[in-house]
Amino acid sequence: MIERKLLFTGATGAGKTTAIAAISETKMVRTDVPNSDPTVSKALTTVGLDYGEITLDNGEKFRLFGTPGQQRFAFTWPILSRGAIGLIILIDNSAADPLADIVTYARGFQPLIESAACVVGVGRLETHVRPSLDDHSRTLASVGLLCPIIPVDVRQKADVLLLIDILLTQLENKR
Amino acid sequence: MIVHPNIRSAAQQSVETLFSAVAGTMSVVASTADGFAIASRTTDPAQTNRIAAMSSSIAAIGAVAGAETLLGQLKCVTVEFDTGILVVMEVPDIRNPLVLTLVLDQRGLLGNALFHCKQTVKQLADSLAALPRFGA
Repeated sequence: MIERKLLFTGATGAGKTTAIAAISETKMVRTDVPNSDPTVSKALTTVGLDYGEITLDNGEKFRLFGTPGQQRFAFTWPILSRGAIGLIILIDNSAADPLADIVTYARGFQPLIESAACVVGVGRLETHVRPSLDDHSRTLASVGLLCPIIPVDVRQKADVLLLIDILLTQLENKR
Repeated sequence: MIVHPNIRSAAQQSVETLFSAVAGTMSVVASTADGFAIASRTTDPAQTNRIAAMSSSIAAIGAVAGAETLLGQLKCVTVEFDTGILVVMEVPDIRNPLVLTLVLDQRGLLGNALFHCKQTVKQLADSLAALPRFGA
């Protein structure tokens, strides 16, 4: 059986853990600890990695890894990137500066993006319409990247599966 | 990050004691479970925040490994290198969990380091139990 590795990244609160939990068919491995950062309104935060697994209808099995979002854990990003065939960047459009976030992760994962495939999911667009998907697209282009960008609700399994589907399509097109 | 001054003070006291007690110590850092340094004594202050972040990841991955293998609560992670040893211990506290990190050079002895780290963890845990929680 072919097993592949996918990586989820994005800022704290963007929904990486939620996205993996939405689709994982196994009990997730989580490294959540109490959050002591008052600028982040969540009780727990990931400091190591998230891990889950999913088998698609065609039998392909994916190991799903999530990164910590905070810049101080950027040392984990290249470690978790090893062996990944694709990257899913999640953006919280209600964050203080979503366009800065997309640049942070596009640059932080540039080696993986260049060697694999990448898709961006933007959350909370229904309540925070700005920046638009076009704004995100232009920002990505300004750092030399061209990736599909779609609206997502990472609590919805169908939305997360759509991200993976688009990612796999990207990979097919790269071959 | 908001940490009560009494927590910082208790942590700094423990860090200083541990730094003095173990020969070959390069750094001692006490940090929050999510990787913020709250007390440190080190020969290279530029490393403090990086050690705090890395240690919180190491502790969290160690803790989940213990849970997955049904081995219980994490006590300690030791990592040996060509020229030194890294010791990471959790300071258990239901309200104010911390991570204690000791970095030793080649003069350090693992048994000695573990003995003193465990003493420091116990002392710090006792102190934390009597203090207000973060943000209080």
